[in-house]
Amino acid sequence: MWQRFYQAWLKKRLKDPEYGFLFEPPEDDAVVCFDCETTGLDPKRDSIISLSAIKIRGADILTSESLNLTFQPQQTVEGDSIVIHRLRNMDLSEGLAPQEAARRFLQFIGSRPLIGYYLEFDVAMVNRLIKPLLGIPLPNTQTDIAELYSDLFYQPWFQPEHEVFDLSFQGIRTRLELPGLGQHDAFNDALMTAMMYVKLRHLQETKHTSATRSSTT
Amino acid sequence: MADDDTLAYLNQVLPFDRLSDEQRAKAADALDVVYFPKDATIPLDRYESAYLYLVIKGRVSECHADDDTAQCGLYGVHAAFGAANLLDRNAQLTYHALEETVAYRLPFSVFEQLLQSSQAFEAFYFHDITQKLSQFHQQLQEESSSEAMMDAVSIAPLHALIEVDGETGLKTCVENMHSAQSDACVVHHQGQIGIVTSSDLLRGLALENFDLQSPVGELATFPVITIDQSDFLFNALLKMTRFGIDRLVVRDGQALRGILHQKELMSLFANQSGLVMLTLERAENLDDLKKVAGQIDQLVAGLSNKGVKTHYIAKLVNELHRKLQAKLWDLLDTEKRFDQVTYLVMGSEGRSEQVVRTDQDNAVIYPDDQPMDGLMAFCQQYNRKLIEIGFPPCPGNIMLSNPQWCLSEQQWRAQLDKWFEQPDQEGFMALAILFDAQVVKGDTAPLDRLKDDLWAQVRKRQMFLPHFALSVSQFDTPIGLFGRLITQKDAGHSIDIKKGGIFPIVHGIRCLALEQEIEPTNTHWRIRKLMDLNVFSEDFGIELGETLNFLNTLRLQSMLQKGAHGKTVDNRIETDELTHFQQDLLKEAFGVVNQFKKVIEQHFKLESY
Repeated sequence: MWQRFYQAWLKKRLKDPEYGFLFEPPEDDAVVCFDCETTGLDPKRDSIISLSAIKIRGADILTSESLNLTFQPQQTVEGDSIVIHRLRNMDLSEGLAPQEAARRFLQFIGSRPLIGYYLEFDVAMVNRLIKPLLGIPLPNTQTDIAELYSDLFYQPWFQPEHEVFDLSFQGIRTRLELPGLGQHDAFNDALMTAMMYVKLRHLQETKHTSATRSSTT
Repeated sequence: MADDDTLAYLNQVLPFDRLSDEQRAKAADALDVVYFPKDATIPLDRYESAYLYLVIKGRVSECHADDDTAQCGLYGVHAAFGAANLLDRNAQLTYHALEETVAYRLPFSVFEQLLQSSQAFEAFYFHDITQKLSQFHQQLQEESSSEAMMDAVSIAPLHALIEVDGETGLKTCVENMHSAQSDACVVHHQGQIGIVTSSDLLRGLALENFDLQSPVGELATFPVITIDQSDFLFNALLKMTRFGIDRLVVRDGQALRGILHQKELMSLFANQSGLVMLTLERAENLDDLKKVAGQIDQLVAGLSNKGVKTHYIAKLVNELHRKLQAKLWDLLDTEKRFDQVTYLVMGSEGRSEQVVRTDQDNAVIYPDDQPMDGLMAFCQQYNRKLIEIGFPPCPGNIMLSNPQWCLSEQQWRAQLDKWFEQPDQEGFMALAILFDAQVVKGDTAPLDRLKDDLWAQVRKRQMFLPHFALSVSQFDTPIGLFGRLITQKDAGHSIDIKKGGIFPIVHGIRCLALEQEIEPTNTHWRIRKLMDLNVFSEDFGIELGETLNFLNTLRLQSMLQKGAHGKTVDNRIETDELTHFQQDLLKEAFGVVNQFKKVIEQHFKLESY
């Protein structure tokens, strides 16, 4: 109810009618998983270096139709994040202008639900590009892997008090027994997040069916 | 966007490693990632789900659509599967995730384009077994350090070729040899080509009253033994051993090129094969011969590791074994009481196919008109010594120490008659073993006459061969209707490769060879002759030969491994220890065995028996 009201409110405030498709029903049953590599961790100050988005249909991760964008540098890449992403400033010189990148991203995702790991951060980063264009933030429904994961795995009565429930990317990947994919970049991170999503969805379903089965017997 | 990780992954997957960078990038761009929970069925057909899968994580089983319980293939990380369903209209395979599996998925359309754009890639899927097997050997050989044995004769240093007419005087001949610094000379004499060596010349001058003007033709040895320069050095050694000579004349087609001397040949090998030969030449007692037997075993292991074809190893080893047995005979028969006797090896030894000494099959033919006092006692002594050297006794007692296998020519003939008149399983086996016999020591004529007799017997008994051939299908080929391996339920999922594949080929070929009266006993040579006689096609003959060689290679490798670990050496191979590629080849090899069984059934019209 609240969601529908919020959507309607956003739609009314949409600056550019060309993007009305963001409020249409999705053209297929796919979801989109995406990840950004950024110059730092402050959404207000830092900017996106590269972005990868991958469609997921059922249990299939459509890497062959993935979107991979590199951005024009807005500011100098700080030393720390170079070490993480191995992207130097000179690698970025051929990137896209922010507006063009935002347009391609919106075309790619359409009105499909979005998936990500600590998605809030990535959405905040993208919103900075999108708001000048649309006047509104991303209206798509969002699912955070970390939330999905803790819904399934966090058992408060079982958690030792002195231990923090491990919600790190690496921790989730290891617990879900998914293969690592070598280098840390937007594409690999998006792909691993997609794998997590597919596996978590599968676990959710089996949990659900076993629950209904036990309730009927 | 083909990222580096995907490209690096593809580079580790057969046959994507054979693609060019550009083609690989194209494949990488088309990949999707798919997830299958444990026990999920992986969709794969030629319509909706026309995909090739490449495993990133997990294990996938391959089964036949009609029988889900029997697994016929297993795919792990870096393995690609699905091509069979995509390329072979008759294939009906189903795939299940044995554990949770993540895989790349390549659309058939892109797979097809890759097949068209890369020959090496296409070859992986479409080459028939012959080509795959020869690639397998090539690979083995590439992995090994360069082995002189497999080089061509043309790389060996040759002595200058001197050719003289048979009428030439000895003096001129020696002058020619001296100026060319050679110790041998080719002699053309009365339309024949022979050879004369410096020791021949010395013998002639010093011992046989030749003088410096005598024509050289009378001293020369005819015919000269030659070898083509494109032949393996290995075969040069084989020829020298077989004829007991030190020199071979090298030819290029029909033209003579030079003389290859054993000294130079040995220096090229600089390994055990030369050493074995020399120890054998110089052996003076039983201990020396035991040493030789041990060296032969090391030689086998060495050559096998180097990827020399088992067929060649077998030829060399059997040549050495025969020399060794002949030497033993000489050592024991010091007074040369039994020079008139013909000593035969039979069965696998007769066919030159025994590489690891598993048993001995041998016999003796002695002349009818000569008193042979003490021969039986001698044979028993010989047999004991042979066992002592390391030739295990024959479990069926088919040995010269058994009076039934130590007979005069007349007695042999009577024995043959008996085997043919009252055919039973034992008689069939005896005939099969005898038909593969070859002479190791003594006159070869008695055995030739015996084989003539054997053929005559076969010719006049139309019913014999079909009955004889029945045992080709005695054991089931360990492969299911749709190409999965049928293994024992033991720890290593073993297969008796002799019963399953080697025996049917060897015996089937033996039946055809009996029918066509083919003299060579080695199965590969028999196949060659059968091809020449158009009994079957050139292609099928080559395929059959390569298949036999592959099966023998697997058997040898397993025997060597078992021997090294002190286990009982038998004919079982553990399929779990084979690579995926070897398992595939094995399946195809058994396919050829089944095809051959059908050929034999049709040829001898076995359906009616």
